[in-house]
Amino acid sequence: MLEKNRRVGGRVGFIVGCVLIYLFTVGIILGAVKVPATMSKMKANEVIKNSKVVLYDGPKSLKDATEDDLKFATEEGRDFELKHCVDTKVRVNGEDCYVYDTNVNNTHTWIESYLPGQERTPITYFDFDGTVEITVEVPKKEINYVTIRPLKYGIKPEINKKKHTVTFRIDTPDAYTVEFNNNVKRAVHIFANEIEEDIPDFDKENVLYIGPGEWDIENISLEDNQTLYISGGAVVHGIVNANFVKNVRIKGRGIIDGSKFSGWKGRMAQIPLKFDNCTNFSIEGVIALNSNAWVLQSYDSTGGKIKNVKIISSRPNGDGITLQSCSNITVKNSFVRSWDDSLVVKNYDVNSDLITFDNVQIWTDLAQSMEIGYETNKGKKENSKISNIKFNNITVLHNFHKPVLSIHNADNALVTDISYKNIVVEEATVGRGDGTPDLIDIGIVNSGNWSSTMDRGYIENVAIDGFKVLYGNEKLPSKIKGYDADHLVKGVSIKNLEIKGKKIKSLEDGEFTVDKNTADITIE
Amino acid sequence: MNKKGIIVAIILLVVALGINCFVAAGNKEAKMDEKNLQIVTAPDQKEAQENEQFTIAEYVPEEIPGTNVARKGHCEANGYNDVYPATYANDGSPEGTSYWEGPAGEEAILTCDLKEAFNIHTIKMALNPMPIWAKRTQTMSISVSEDGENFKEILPSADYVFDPKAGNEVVVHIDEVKAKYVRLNITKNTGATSGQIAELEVYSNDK
Repeated sequence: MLEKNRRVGGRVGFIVGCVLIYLFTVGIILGAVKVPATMSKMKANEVIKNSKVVLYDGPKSLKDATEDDLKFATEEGRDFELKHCVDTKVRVNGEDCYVYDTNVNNTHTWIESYLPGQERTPITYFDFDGTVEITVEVPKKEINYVTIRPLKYGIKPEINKKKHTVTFRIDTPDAYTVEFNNNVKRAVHIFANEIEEDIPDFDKENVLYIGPGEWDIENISLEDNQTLYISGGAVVHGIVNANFVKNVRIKGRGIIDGSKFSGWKGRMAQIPLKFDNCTNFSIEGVIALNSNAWVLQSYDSTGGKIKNVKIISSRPNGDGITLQSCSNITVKNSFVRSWDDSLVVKNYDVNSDLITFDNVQIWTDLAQSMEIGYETNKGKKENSKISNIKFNNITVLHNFHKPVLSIHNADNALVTDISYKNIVVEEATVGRGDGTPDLIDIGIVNSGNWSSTMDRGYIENVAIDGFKVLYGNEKLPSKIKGYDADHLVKGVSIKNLEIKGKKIKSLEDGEFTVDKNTADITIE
Repeated sequence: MNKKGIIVAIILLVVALGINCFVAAGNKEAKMDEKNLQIVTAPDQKEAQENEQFTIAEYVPEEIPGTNVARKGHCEANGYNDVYPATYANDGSPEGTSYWEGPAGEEAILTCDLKEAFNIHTIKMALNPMPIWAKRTQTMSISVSEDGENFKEILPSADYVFDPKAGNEVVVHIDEVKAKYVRLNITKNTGATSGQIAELEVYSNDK
């Protein structure tokens, strides 16, 4: 029988015991330090538990992106097709999302051969309601710093360097972009949609339904009163167009992909979303990738609703949303990353009127972010006019090349009643490549490339209220120029302009060049 | 170490393990209730497939006897839109941008001079056969003339449907008539602001 409190193991046992007690105590202290944060996280996890998520498996036939697929090369220099991304994983509430590897263009110089170098970037999408936790895992990347855009959400992600993960939470449906180590390359675009509502009845005769999977459909032409539903998980290699029809709509979460078309090179543009001469059309929820030219065009149409559309273009003339001679159009809650103008209004035929862009995120790799012009009367109509165009709540994530805000009246039209409200430019590195350095550029011009009329036009009543640049070039000049004494830029009111923390109260402060062919230019 | 020390060590071990397990469990990626998760699954596919709903059955064009005498003729019109002149209407190609489109918002009049008079029996009108040229209806009358001045209407104004499922072409059989000129008067086109013809073919058994 052992004696009470008898020593076990002698002196060595005592030392080992003391070390163990010390280690266990340290373990308790280290653990205890983390307990409050853990409890708070567990409490927050209750919110996650109650969130709702819809995930969409991607097509099983899409090939994994290899290292060769990710190389910087022209579209003829490597496989250009849409791929399944394997070097970046995205989880929502711990569940895997399907990640696509799509083409993007990080160059900022026009190229006459129509063959700029292309790279790729991961994108994914899902629907949710409530608060969800997103984890992005990049096993091959050392993560030192992460930026999550738009910055307005103030997201401070948790970075786990060992696991190569970034974790953050969101509670608002929107597009989120994760950039690593202050570099835009391989930025991850996450399209976090709201849960889909108003899904059409697929049994109805006027509903065309495309389910999940990979589909070769050369062209879909919509007829009067038809609805095309492209389900989440679907990839349609082809284009959708509507011509001289009314009451047509596209809905769904799927992808319209142009990667199987070779670049248009000024000849055969395959426009993924083309709505010409339409009355009452709507486009909602879909994603357009890899267009061989520009992406969403409407010409001579009236009554259009474009909502929650996500666009990434990388090839020449890849304008994002181009509205040509349209009226009564709204574009809201959308995302455009483009290798040419992101949002464009121009007159190719009749007048443009009553067009509103609201809550749109823009990433402009080439050309302008919000452009009116250059063509303001390509149809050579009498009394041509572009009027009542509104840009509200626009967030420009990046603008690398040409002005963020521009009106170029290159014909004889009157451009009037144009307003910009609550514009936030997160990074204005304007002027890269063969770009120009101006932030704002308003002018009446005679362009060898774009003018169709001999006469020049007018620009009147332009209101900019709330224009904030968060980061950008050391110098961000702007210019306002008329054409001659008879063709003035008249009535430009700028309020609440703030550039990199500095409130701009005078034209000099804002480094504006304003020529003599202008009148009533005010800044306050 | 005495027994008390061992007990203390065991208690500390249990507490340390407990706290650290708690911390580890609490810091796992957040999971949601399975009932709140919906996954839309993808079908088993090894490659991209055609979608039956949008597959167009192969169109077999009608075999028309005789010779297309318009091919060597010359087309003129009362105008044209953009870059689509009348000469494209009988250049032998209905594809690409090789088509005639009349002046926007006006009646479109296309006249084909066959260069000599033929006994004609069939007129074929075609648009670009690609599905992007969606179905449209053109309203037109057809006249003929031997001198280019006095035209006789051989078919009164009627609707003609151009449907990519039917090759986007319309074949009209007429009672044989002698003509050196064939004229289309297009008053309406549901697919454009004026009449459009990518290829006009006029058949005769004379050659």
